[in-house]
Formats: sequence, structure tokens, C-alpha cells
Amino acid sequence: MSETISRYATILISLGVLAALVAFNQGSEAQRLDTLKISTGYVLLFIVLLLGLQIAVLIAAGKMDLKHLISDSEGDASMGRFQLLVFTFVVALSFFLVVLHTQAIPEIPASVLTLLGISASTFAVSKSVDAGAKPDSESKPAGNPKPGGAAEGTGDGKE
Amino acid sequence: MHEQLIELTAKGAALLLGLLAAAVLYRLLTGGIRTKGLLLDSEGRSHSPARLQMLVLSIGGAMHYLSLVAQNPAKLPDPPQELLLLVGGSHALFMGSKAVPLFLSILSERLQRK
Repeated sequence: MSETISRYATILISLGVLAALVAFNQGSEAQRLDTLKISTGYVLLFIVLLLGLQIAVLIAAGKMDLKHLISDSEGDASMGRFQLLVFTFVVALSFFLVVLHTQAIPEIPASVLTLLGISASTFAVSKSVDAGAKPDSESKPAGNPKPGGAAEGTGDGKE
Repeated sequence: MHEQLIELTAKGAALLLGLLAAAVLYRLLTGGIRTKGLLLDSEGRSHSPARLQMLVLSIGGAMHYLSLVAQNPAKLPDPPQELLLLVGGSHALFMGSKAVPLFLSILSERLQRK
């Protein structure tokens, strides 16, 4: 599927470049530069959209493994990661709604960035606390025998 | 022509964000993303109140902000100060519940060595 998309993308990009070249040879120098800038913008927009669309389709189809998206190093779900995911999506969905309504890119207020900052700081601190807890669990002789790897850790490093 | 490109870029960015959010939400709800142990404490034995309150307040705060946006989608609204304080306090409580046992275990270990 990704090969087919890549083929179509290559053909469309080539056509876009050809159209830009044709348009570039018409009008005055200022008009040609303007046309070139706009054509480049359209081509870049198309490439980014196609890549994003492909990623979204792969995620929805289950071909991109997101099983451990919010898991910690022990494999259990982490609250620090989950809340960061929630707040990121809330800001993204708000952006989506505002763009649909205004048809323009909105300004992001400082307080929204503060909200995202609180969330990201919690994630970072949570990770550092877990990193601080990890050597204790690994230093226990019976807790995590490295050579065989049969027994798992005690779970002290969970987020 | 510039305006058309800007409008299309804005719509494209919004569409992309919406699609990615929808795809991840779909995987989360259908079990494609592991959520086991989300509310369990560090030992994995019992449910942690600190995690539960953070889950409730994070989702509640997020829904409240989304409702503010839905009421007036002309611009991104400022979240109320109360919401920031509530979310900040909830996260501080969660971090405290993780950091305090670690701090105490390090302290007791050092005291035992002495």
C-alpha cells in the first residue's frame, strides 16, 4: 500500500514541478518568483499531507504498532504519558475546531502553553523519579538476574 | 493566491491533527494501545488514589477546555486560572505520591548504613 502511495506521490510531485516550471516562464520576473514561491508551497503542503495521511492510515489499520505508546520501561501503562497524550490531543482538537471555523491559523495563548508545560513537566519529573528508583530494584540480588533474564524486576520503576 | 495557500495549509494542518487524534483514540479504545496498570500503584498491587484523581481531573479539565472552545470557536480561549491551578495541583499530588516513597526509601537506606 505504501509503495502505491509513494508511486502516486512521485507522479503528482513531478506534475506539480512541471506545472510550476511552465508557470515560471510566463510574466515578469516578480510574477515568476511569486508563482515559484506559491508552487513550492503547494508541493510542500501536498508532501506533508500525504505523509501525515499515510501515518494516520497505518495507525488506524494497526500496521504501526502503538501498543506501548503510553507504557513505561516495565511495560505497564504510565499515567504521566497518558495525561500528556490527553492534553496534547485536546490542544490539537481545539486547533482543529478553530481552524474549521475561522479558516486561518490561530494564535496559541500563553496560558494554553502553560497547560501543556504543566503536563510535559509532570511527564519529565515522572520519568526522572522512575530513573531514580530503578537502580534500587536492579541492585537486589534475587530481583533481576541478568544472565538468564527469566525473572522480571520488582516493578519499582513503574510510572 | 497567497490567501488560498494559507487557507489550504490551515485546513490541511487541522485535518492532519484531527486524523492522527482520531486514529490514536480508535487504537486506544479498541485495545491497540496497552492501558493495563494505568491506575495501579508503584508495586502494582492496589489502585492508587493519586493516579485516580489525576485521571479524573485530567480528563475533566480537558473536556472543560474543549467545551470552552466549542462555545466560541473564533479563537483559542485562555483556560481559566482555576483550571490551571486544579491541573497543576493534581499533577503535583501525583508527583508527590511517586517521589515521597522514593525519598523515604533512600533516607532509610542511608540511615541503616550509618
